[in-house]
Amino acid sequence: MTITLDAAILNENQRPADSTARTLTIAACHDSPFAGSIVAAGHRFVALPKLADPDFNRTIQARITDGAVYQEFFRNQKIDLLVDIETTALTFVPDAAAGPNACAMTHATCDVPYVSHFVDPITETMKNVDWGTRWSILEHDGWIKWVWDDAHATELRRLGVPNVLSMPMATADETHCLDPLPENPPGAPVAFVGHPATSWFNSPSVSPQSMRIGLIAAAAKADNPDVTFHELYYDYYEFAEPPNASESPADRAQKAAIYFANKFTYNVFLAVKQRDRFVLFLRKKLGEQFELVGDYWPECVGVQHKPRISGRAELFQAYRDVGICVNLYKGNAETGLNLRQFEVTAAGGFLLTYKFAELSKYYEVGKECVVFDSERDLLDKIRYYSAHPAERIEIALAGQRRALSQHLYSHRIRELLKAIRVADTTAGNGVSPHRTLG
Amino acid sequence: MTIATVGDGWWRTAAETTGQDVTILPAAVDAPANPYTASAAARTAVATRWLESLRATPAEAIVDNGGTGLAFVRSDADPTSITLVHEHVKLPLLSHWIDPLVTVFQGLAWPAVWQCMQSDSWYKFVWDKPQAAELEAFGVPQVHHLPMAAIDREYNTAPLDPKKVKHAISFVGGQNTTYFSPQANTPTQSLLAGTFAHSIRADMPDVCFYDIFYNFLRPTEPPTPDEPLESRINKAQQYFQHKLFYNAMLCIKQRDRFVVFLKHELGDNFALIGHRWDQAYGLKCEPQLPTTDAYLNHFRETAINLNFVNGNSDSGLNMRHYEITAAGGFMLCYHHPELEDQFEIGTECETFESERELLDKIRFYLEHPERRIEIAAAGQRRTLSQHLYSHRLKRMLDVANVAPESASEPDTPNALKGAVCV
Repeated sequence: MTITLDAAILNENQRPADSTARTLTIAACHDSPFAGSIVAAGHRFVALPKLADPDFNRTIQARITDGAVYQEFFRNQKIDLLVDIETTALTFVPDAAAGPNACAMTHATCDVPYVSHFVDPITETMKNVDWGTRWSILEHDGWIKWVWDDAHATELRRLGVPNVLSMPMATADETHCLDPLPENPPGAPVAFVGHPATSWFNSPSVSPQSMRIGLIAAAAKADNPDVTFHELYYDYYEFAEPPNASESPADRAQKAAIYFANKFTYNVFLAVKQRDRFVLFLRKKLGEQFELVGDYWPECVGVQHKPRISGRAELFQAYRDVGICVNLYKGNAETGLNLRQFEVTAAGGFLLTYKFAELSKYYEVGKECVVFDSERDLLDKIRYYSAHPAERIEIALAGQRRALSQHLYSHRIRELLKAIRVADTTAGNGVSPHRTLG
Repeated sequence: MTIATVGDGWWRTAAETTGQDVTILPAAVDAPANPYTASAAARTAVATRWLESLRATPAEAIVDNGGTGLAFVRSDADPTSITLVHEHVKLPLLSHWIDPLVTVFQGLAWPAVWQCMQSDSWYKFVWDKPQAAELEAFGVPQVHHLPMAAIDREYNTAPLDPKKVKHAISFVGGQNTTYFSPQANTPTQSLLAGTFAHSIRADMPDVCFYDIFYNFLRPTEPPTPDEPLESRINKAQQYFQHKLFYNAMLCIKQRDRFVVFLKHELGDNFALIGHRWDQAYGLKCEPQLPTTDAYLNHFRETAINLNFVNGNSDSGLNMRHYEITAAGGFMLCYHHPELEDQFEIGTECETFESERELLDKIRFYLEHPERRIEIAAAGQRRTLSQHLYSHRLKRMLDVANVAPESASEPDTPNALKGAVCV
């Protein structure tokens, strides 16, 4: 299939006009975490029509089917901005003028600016779209890719993806209990809520040669903790040249594919380094004093767990009921904070988190949350804060004040509307956009 | 005192330097074959010659490198029963290992190796502290830590002459792991323990693989001293299989990555001398130096001699640490835990811990030849006064003498009967 996309829409007269001054009509999925936050940010939320299967990994054909639904919706509603999570609202419509099998982005045909918020790497979405097409969609400057992780944002820019906005996650605008935590937590002394960061070790076999670049990067990361994969790959070791505008779309896509294939082993290493090892450690050291909530732990790491908590109110209460909420990162994040960071603090829980590069940009470490950087440190901090409930309560309250005053999605929506003005002025500075996907 | 050495290597010169008489026992495998590949049959065949030699020239101890002194005598009465030669002649066997257990006994069956290692009169001197500790944990007796050293010989002790520099920066050493060869395919599960270990060591570099494997992952209970030997052997086999990937990645962490990095950064200004770099990474490299004189002289003609420890060592130093400094060369090496036990860092050699620091130190020492020369001279003084194999031999003999009951009346483990497939 050949899809022809329209020209960039985020030009001077098509961006959300006076975006910071007037009430905008912002569309998102009906169950989007942005719904309440759009309203809290002072704008009007409009729910997109429900789709049969809004999976962010669905095929191009499914997105074309959905495009007809959205096009009718956009024609009947005056929408100033479309936002979603991980391309669920990215759809296409046939573009007969461009060719017999050509398509255009639906939002673009209706002059609706579109921002997609990624809470996982961009490569984790659109998995049922072939890589060349997927990469061409990402290279298109007709939408903004809001990425939660500075390192990922920078690598995407280096790979030639335009309109990448780096901004952290947040938590939805909801009602939270503001009471101080009890001195004696009714729940477990220590808990982690989340799934294993990797199931890769359950796959049958691997070619060690395919891992070598990722392992070199992982080895270098151990001695250079502040260096990111794209720096190691392109600057330190010069394993390849970044794609450039003079290359064909196919060559650029191929370079990006090789880059991410090499990064895979590095991500597995980070998955163990930033999460799985600590879960195993806490289970060994604390036994049932450590509550593990999530799925897949027995098959991945061999430890038992409690099932995931589905209701948000129950989840927030669980964060408040335990003595210490441990936060561990997945392997696909290098610098950016995860959702749990914001949810635990917003709920008023006491957060003990693995040190992470962007943390000090958003929290006062030691006053609003506490960090650890090794098993020894983790155990020491658990002992200390279990024995000092007053400090724990004080830090949790300060963390909650920070989260509720600065780290709700309503805050991000306001920042986003400011950032769009920045993003569109820089559009086109990277790889020149191309329109034909093949 | 007469020392019997296996082969005519550095232990002969070390013994002679310390004033001992030497009798040379032939190796089970003739050069240039790898002595570590000696089979049980070869080790049995050579034993007859050793017994003759020791009868003609009685010795007080057998000294070897890497357990090449392990040889077998068949019982005349029961051909399935064997004894170890050193036990047969009631001599202590002093083995110095500069490679891991899984490397040095390639020609022997795993259970046989472990049964032999129960010999109390076999002193196993291991160059790397964590590897010595893990052997002890598996119940191997007489394990001692002993670093490598430089060969006893004449060295040029004249100050370095900066006008005679032929290479600005050089590393002499091979690409030593075939783990990542194109044909290889490995079960993903076998990478789990190594990945955990490296992840943990990234934040806690002082934790060793054994602790991570048994105190952390704990797929089975750790070995205990009262556990049957067969159970310990099985546990050890499982343990070393899991450790394989850990060592392969250690090779990347401690050596390969820096070579790749410097070739990209410095190109031909970085002289790379050693095998397999072209095959493994497509890097231009020069063949190994032809003679010991050429090898040692190279260190004196290179402004900055880099040293990257191989992947088989957690904390122990390699031969190159001692060879570069003995030759009087200036050494810049990756920081290694046991380095400060052996050298005064910054005064007798220099270290780096990351790519950035490596480049910074290279720049600095290229611009400051006087500091290079000063450090090289101090490093040479240290090695020639404390880190020759003659110094190590004295320690080995001291250790062996403190356990006379074991040396004079060695045990003959019954479990050895029929254990070695000849």
